[in-house]
Amino acid sequence: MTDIPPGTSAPGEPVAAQAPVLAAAGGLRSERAHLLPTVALAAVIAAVVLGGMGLDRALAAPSAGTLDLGRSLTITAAPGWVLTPSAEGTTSAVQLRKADAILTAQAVDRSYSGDSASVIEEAKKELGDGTAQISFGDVHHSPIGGHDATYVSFQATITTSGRSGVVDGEVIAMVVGGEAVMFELAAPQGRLGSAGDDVQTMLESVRVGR
Amino acid sequence: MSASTEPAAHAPRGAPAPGAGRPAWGVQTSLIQPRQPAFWLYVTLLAIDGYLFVGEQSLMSGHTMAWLLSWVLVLAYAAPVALIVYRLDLFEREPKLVLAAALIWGGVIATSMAGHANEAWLSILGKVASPELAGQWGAAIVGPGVEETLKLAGVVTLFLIVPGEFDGLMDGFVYGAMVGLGFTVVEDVSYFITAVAAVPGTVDQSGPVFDTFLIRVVGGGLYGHVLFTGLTGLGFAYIATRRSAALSGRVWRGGLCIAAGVAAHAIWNSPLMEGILATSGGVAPSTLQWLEYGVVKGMPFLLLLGLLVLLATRSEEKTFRSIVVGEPDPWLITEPEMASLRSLWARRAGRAAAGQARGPAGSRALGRLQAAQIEYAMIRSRTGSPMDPALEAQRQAIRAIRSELAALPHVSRPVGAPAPVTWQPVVGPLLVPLPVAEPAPTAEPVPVPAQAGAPTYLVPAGGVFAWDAPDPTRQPIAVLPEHTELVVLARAGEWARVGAAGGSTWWVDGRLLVPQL
Repeated sequence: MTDIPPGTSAPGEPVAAQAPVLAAAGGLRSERAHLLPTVALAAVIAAVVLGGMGLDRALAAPSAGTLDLGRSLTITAAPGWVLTPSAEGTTSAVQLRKADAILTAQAVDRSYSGDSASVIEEAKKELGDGTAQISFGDVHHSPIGGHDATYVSFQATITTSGRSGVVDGEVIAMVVGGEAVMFELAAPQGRLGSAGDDVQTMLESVRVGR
Repeated sequence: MSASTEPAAHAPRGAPAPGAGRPAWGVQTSLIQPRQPAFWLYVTLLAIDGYLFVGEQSLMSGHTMAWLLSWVLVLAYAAPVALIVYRLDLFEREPKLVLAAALIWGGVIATSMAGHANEAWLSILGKVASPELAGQWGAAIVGPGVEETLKLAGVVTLFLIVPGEFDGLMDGFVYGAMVGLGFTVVEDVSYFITAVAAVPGTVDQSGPVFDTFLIRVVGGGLYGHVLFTGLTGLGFAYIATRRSAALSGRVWRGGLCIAAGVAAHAIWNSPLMEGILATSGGVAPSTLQWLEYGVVKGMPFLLLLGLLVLLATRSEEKTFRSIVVGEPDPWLITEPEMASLRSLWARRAGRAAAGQARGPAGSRALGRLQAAQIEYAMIRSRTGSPMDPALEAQRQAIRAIRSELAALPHVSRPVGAPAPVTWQPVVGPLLVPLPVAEPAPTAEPVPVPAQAGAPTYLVPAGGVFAWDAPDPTRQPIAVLPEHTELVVLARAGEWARVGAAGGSTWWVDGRLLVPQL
């Protein structure tokens, strides 16, 4: 066996008698040496999280402004919501988009039986007829901005251009100044939540012209 | 693989010189390091994000049944994954507290921060590019950048707290995979509950949970955050631990690995290849479609990770060899035993063979022998000196298990195989209990050539293992005592068929025989 075992001093080699002291000093150096990388790491984390949030607030969000829904109804788009290209130029319905959430707003141009609940029932029927797989939640009735409003959530599997996907959504019907308006909000599964506040603001912005 | 009984004391080919850049495997560092600045970074972020996490879970628990079911399902998925990742680290397994810290970083800190950061950066993308781009490609552009940065930050934080626990590539993979696992568990629960909340009228809350579980875990469970952060962690470990390589090379190769992790995440999140999920009539894609979708998008990266983990394991094996080299007792870890420690499969095969030969007790004893040999390497690495009392105690433990193994009776032998040799633990010249072969008649005794001038050999000090066939997967049937005089009857590669006085023949590692002058 010719190998010198690791950690064994060769004959005549001085023994490291002050090893503990040196180890302690090495430990301190190591902790100081880690300060700068830790600060750099914290800066990276802050840049990703706080920097992103700050930059988002600093950048002005494009907005479609106030839009005509027809039948003298108008809606003011919340910051970040813009008209989808296919919907631009139309007056009877508007389609707004922010990230992957889409809000379609349309004045109901036919007679209805009196309240938002009846509009919702009609909308559910139309959606159910046009979608193979759709399930609705409970219908809720609650005023929005002082106007009669009814809403229902749904989950549907839709197929467009040969691609299928699960969509979460809500249908909202409102009666403003005697005119009914229907909204349909949809987003890919799991991505609806962040649009909620914006949609609430936009619903409250619906006005009827005189 | 040679069937050599070459003991560990023989330096293996390609093994580093003893002590050269050898990691301190046997030293486990506590996570609690108040003098390390990164420890306080971890604690601070845990306090902030832990508060947010509790709030979010509390909100989700409003859907009580769905929330409980979600946790049961994700934990049923996470527990075996964690065990596999833990056990893939074959030699120096990481401290459990540090592994728990990695899981918590992924599940609590990274998920909470990513929730806010993703939303902000998606919004920024919509403003500076277009809402359409943000809608269609936002998850593929923003998700990997934000989430992989925040998850890898967890691996780096742990490295800064306990740098001694990062000895090689495997450690980067293990910590990265654990961070990724924590992330995916909490993210999945969030997705399950969102699916339930989207259908508030649903009486049976389990439906949306199971549907989402099918898509995210059954369809894509192999290709998620464990894979992504396993790759980035491995890349970071390459940069941080391969100190012998030039910095530029480390950054280049490690950076490539990190880029692969980010790319895997981006491709997974992208709308590419969604044609696989196409259905007609608006019906939901089938489970088979989801599986195919997952395989096409994720399998190439999973294979890449598998290859890198294999290379990391080889590197760990080399380290193991460099630690045990120089052991004065050649029978503590023999070469075949060393080879059988190199993978989970080889270890299992070894235990299965022992179980076949000596029953369940033999399998268990070999398992304990393997564990004791690895523990020996840990102590050896920690102590440095081969004469350390702890090391000597471990040697005795190994010898005791070996004796126990040798004393177990054979339970079966192949038809036509030589009669089993009685194994008797004895104290050899190196104070090693060695199983000694009694002269056993072979199925076809071959007379030893007696012609004058035939070259003869001697068994070297410590003896050699002997097999009944030149097959390294079989158990040795005997140990030939040192100084036994042998005649080589035939050679097959490194194997030699030898005969001894009395007509017995065996197969041995011919390289170990000492020519008699």
